[in-house]
Amino acid sequence: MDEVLDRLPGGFLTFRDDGLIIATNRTLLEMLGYGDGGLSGGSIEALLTLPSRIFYQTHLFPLLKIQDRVDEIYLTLRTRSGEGLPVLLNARTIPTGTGAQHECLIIPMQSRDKYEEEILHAKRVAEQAVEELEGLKASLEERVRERTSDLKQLLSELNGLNYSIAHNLRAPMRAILSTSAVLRSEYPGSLSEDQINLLDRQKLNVETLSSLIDDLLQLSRIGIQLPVKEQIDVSSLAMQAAVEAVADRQAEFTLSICPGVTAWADPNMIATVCAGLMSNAVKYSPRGGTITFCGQQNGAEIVCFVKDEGIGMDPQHIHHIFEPFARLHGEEFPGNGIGLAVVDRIIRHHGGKVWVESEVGKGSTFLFALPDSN
Amino acid sequence: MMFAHGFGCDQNMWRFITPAFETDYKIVAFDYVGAGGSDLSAYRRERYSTLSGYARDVLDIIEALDLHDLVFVGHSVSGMIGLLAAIEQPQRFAKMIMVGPSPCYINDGDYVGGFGHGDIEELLKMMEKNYMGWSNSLAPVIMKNPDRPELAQELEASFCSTDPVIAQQFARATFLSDNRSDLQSMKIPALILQCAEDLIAPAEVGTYLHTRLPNSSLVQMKATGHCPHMSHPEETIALMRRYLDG
Repeated sequence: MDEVLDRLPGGFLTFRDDGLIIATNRTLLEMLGYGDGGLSGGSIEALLTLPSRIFYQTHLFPLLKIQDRVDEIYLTLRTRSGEGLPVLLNARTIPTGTGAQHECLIIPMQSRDKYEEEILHAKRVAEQAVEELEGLKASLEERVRERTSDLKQLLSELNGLNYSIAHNLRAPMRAILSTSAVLRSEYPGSLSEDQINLLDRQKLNVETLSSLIDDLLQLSRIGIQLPVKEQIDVSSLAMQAAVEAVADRQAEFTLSICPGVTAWADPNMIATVCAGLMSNAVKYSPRGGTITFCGQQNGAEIVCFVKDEGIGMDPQHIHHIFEPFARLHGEEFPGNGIGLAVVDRIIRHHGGKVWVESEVGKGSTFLFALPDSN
Repeated sequence: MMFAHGFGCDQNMWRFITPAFETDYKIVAFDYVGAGGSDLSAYRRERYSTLSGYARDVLDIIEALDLHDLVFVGHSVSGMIGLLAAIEQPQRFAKMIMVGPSPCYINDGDYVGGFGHGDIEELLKMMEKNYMGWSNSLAPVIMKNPDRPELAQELEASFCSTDPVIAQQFARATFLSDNRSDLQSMKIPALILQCAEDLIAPAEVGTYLHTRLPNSSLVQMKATGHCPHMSHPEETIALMRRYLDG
């Protein structure tokens, strides 16, 4: 063998298809502990650890036969004393008169191997951590699902309870109204004026209570019923609601209603929304003011608004107004603070949202957005 | 004639054999899902965790191409994959040729498979190191970039390489398989080509298989190693032909 090849700073070896070693250089022999000879006529497999032999048979040899070359193959050689020596191997196949011959260059990589071990270890640790994280995430999601379902259950129970409380309050109230009516009609002459005044005040209060209970019933019913959606004409619902609200107030207003605003929603519920917003607008507007309704497509939503020229609201308090019983103004404006809560609940029930833009003295604009699921 | 590759490579390993049978047979060569040029997106971890998933690949191809009177040629682990397929649908198969098969690679009591569990773990580690260079970064890129064929070409250049995770799973499915109890259910005549000095399927395994596999013939080859179809194609072809013509 060429002297240079023999002393090459790397192992050199040639073998045949059947694995028989044809030649080795001195560097390889020294690397493997055969410096004094003793390695000839053997099979390349004898130089490999068992796992490397499997890899040689399943990967290295097939690759070599088809590509006539392999590069950077990691193998573990077995030294004469039986120890493992990690190496990188490059090989080329050379056709000869007596069949193919495979020439290999072999570089030991002991310290690099340790480094790679560490990288692989770190990779395994990272993979394990990812797996644990995935597990934690899954269990968290499961807990969220459980809690959500518990909350939904609780909410539906509460809604049911609200509904039955309001419903059960109606009968005794009717009884109070009828007893006070009986008192008036059965004892017309024997009641003093003071007593009649007291009965009047009682009637007035019971009627307030009755309308409050009706509103509460409506509010809790929204939580129970699912919207039955269809294509609806919001403009005509707004117009109808505005006309009724104006008639209730017994005053004149200018109505500016955009025609042709449509949405995919429950017609009864949106009629309630329009009634709530229109009566609100009429209530807080000066006589002769303009009330505007319009709507338009905005991305995947229909956004509608009701604008008045009323007293407006302090932006600081705005976020409370959709809560039940929230009232920003005093007794001079009638109402129980349920109307806007009903509006809010209906719109949210449709998967939409409602909000308000307002300035004291300049009026308010109530906006609601409905998903355009059609 | 259907050619099934073994663990570690793809259908390219049959390139020295198939031309010899082209005139007499319709040749069907394929890559298991996860190997070679297969569609990696069809890979299901669950399906390919045991050899029965690979047998399903064989049957899927047989059904899709409506193959009958089939000669199934399986290298290494494909001997047992073919056996599982032939047990499930024997009416499709005529003959089977197993090159270096083994029903169980792990030593078990008196049974000598050739390996201990530790050896298999070491092999998996070694594969991991050989995949270190390219595949972790490259494979996912290719899988997600069907519109960048130059990446696929790069993969083709590193022939026989598969996704490292898939390769590891195939290694486990292969080396941890035990099909000894299935042998008696085999109805199709089979040829066992047993190499000399085969580490992966030693001579004892060939004999074990022959005595328990009904209707089987065992031929001891001169070829050494585990891939006679690549190292000694002439002898392999001659023995196959003798069996098929006889």
